[in-house]
Amino acid sequence: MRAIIRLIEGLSVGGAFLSAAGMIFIVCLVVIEIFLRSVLNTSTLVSSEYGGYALVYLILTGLAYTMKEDGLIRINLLTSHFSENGKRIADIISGILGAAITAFALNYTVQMVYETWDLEMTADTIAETPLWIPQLAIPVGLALLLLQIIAFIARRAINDK
Amino acid sequence: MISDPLMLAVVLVGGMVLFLLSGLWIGFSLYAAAICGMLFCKMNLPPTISVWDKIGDLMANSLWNTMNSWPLSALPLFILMGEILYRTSISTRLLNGLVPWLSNIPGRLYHINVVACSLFAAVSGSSAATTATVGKITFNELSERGYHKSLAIGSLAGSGTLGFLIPPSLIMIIYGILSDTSIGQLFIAGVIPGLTLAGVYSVYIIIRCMMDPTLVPQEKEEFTTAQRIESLKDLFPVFLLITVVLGGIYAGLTTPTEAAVIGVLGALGIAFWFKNLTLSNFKEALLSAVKTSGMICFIICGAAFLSQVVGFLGIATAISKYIATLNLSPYMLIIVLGIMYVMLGMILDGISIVVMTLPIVLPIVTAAGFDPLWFGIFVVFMVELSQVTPPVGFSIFVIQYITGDDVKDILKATFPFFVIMVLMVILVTIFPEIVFYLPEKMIGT
Amino acid sequence: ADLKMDCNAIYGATNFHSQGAKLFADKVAEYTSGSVQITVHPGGSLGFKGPELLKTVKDGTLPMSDILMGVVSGSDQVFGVSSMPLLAKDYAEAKKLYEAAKPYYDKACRRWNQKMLYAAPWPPSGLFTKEPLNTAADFEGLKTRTYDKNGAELLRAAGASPMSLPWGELYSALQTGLVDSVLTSAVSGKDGKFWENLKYFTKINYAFPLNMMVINQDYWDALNPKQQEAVLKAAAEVEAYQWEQSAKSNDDSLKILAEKGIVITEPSKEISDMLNRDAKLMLENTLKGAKKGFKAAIKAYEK
Ligand code: NA
Ligand code: NA
Repeated sequence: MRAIIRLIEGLSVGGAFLSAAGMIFIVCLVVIEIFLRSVLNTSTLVSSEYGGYALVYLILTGLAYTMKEDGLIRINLLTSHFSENGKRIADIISGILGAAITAFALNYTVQMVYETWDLEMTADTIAETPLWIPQLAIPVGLALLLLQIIAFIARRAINDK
Repeated sequence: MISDPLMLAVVLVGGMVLFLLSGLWIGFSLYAAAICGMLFCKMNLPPTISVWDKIGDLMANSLWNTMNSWPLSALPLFILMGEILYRTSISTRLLNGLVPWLSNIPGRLYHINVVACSLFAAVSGSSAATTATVGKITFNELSERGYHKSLAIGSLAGSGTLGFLIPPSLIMIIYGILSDTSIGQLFIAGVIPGLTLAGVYSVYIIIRCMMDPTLVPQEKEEFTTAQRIESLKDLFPVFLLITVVLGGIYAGLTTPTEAAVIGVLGALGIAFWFKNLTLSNFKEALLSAVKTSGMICFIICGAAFLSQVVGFLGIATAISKYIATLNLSPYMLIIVLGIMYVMLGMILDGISIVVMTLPIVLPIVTAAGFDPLWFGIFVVFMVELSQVTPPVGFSIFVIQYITGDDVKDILKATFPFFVIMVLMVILVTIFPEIVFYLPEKMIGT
Repeated sequence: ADLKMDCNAIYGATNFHSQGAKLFADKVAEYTSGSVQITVHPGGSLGFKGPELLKTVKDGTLPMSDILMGVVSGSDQVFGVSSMPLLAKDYAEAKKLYEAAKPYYDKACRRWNQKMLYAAPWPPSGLFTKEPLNTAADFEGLKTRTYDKNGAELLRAAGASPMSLPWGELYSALQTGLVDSVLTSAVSGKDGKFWENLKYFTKINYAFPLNMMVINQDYWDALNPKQQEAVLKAAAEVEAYQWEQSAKSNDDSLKILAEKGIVITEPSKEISDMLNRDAKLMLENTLKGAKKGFKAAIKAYEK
């Protein structure tokens, strides 16, 4: 059990590094764009398009890590008064609800990406990017998040901090 | 099944409060409330389409459209800039450098939130980025120096919202396009109210600290002019960073979104210059920025989906339409609209508030004799207020994340600054010259 | 049976396409004695942006939507016909192009499980600039904000450096000099108060991009024949009215621009020759790799 939890958490950290790479990608993209524009008087024409895609990637692949590091905040106005056991149960219920919403969204984003690919939808930009490529980040990120939530529930269930 | 939009609003708010109080993560709470709203609403679907498919497709689309946004990508970058400044101790230097200059002003370093947010507001068009970046730089420093948490939190929450009022401002751009008002004039019109609001925050800090000197750490040092000049070398790099970022925008080299990248590179450059940059603190800054961005954007996604559902249910439109039927006197109208916006601001994000209400509200307001330019500033104030009101208040969430404090304490700390904002709105309503002075001056020349 | 439908409209409530949608909703309510009710949500307040709309209506996530054809050309190429540069050079030609391509639009809509109710053009795009455009050489180094890939390609061929920039960032970009020219319609120029930063408008009549109103097929099938007939009647009336409105709002906007000090000129022969040549080349290149529907529509128009 613990080994599986650690494996999932390892995946979340891997996602975080992808996410960090996304940030560095935007920095490079903008530097190139500003250079082209101010020195060579031309433009990549794609920096705002790819910048948007990079944001999708960096946020979605980073979500599981945010969850793992207890970064997704919640309001503990009521739950802070619960007993240790009560808190555990509340956490497990929240975890199941969160997992259900994530699984629901995952199902429909997989469909969205599949159809976008199947219908050969592309962006209306000069790059004509096939949209399923940037969209793919969403189900990947949600799958990582779902695993991380399951790990969270498992940790609370076996009462492991 | 409910078809009355006002009843649906009650269901939506009730559900959301329930989910939030149960300790469900905020982003999920917003999604859950929105799903409930869709399920309770009478959708009139043809037999071939199931309600679950409709909700699921909307959710998938909303995730993609909300995150596939170039302007929003400035958010993680500004957060990264703040993290770099914080982890390489440049923020410590900044505060060290400011101590000698603020030593004679009551409240001393409390003013740093006001000053830093005003400066940062000139670069960033969003309040979440302003609060997260400045909060990261100042909050721990203030706590470590023995400053009182509540005033530090309150001043951060209040000043963080200046991001919308001081140009560039995302909300003003949207308002300008929707209302056929000059975005340039809106930008200029926001300057005096923005700086006045910042000034009033500072005055409030001074009064609080004079009434209760224990709020400020006791050891008070006297500084000589030589020491002040010496401190400039700690302040200089950050001023240089601000100049480069702002200069890039105003010289036409970068867009405000691209300026975030300049900010990151500038922060790295300074850290390198002070020989504080190591691979390990750069990695920490990156991972921490990933975490903070994920936290904010997850809530943004939830709020965007909720706003979408509110749009489908017609809640904002129904309320605005109802007010239109009341035939109120001009000042009564503004008061009622103010109350409406505060209420909508509890559940909607800023952009949605403007987009959903403006088509109905603006004609009533102009018919009542108010200038669209003035109303634009009024609306920006309303959006600022929405950042600090529960249950959905972005500034509150960001501060909860940075400080780890209880929402109750944060709300208590923020309340005086909320009141100051409301007073500012009243002031601007009674003396609209505060808004018109600069734009009229500019036209004259 | 009574039917209530949400209709997405991308542009703000005062834009003439959004007002056309509103007019359509009112007429439908009138002709069906209130049994079909359409709620128009302007300003993109339902959270949709554009490129996804064909699919969104296909899945019934949105029952109805106002769509700028060009932005869904990535879903079905035929919708890119009306945004091909300098293919139609005035309203009469734009109408002819629409009528020639209409069977192919309808066919594409059927493939995407929806029905096109009416379509109307944006007023023609021209070039707003800081400096006058007299010769082909004046395009050299122009930093132009364009809104689609065709505009970017054409301007690049003419020697300018096109830039893609969100509309929301345009105002500050013009002010700071990040861009010095914009390819857009007189109406958008008026709405964006371009006289605050720009001085000239050259009427190159770049394109008359179409906006269409579509309804999901399942929702359409849920209407009884009488309701369908009433909706089509409303659609035909709104279509005729919107074509007039488009031309009228173009004239009105040009008048306002002139009053505010924008110098409005026809392009010189040298400029229009160059642009026509580049546009023709672009069309040939596009046709080479084009899908069937796109080719057929262009062929029907050139006949
Ligand atoms: Na700002
Ligand atoms: Na709020």
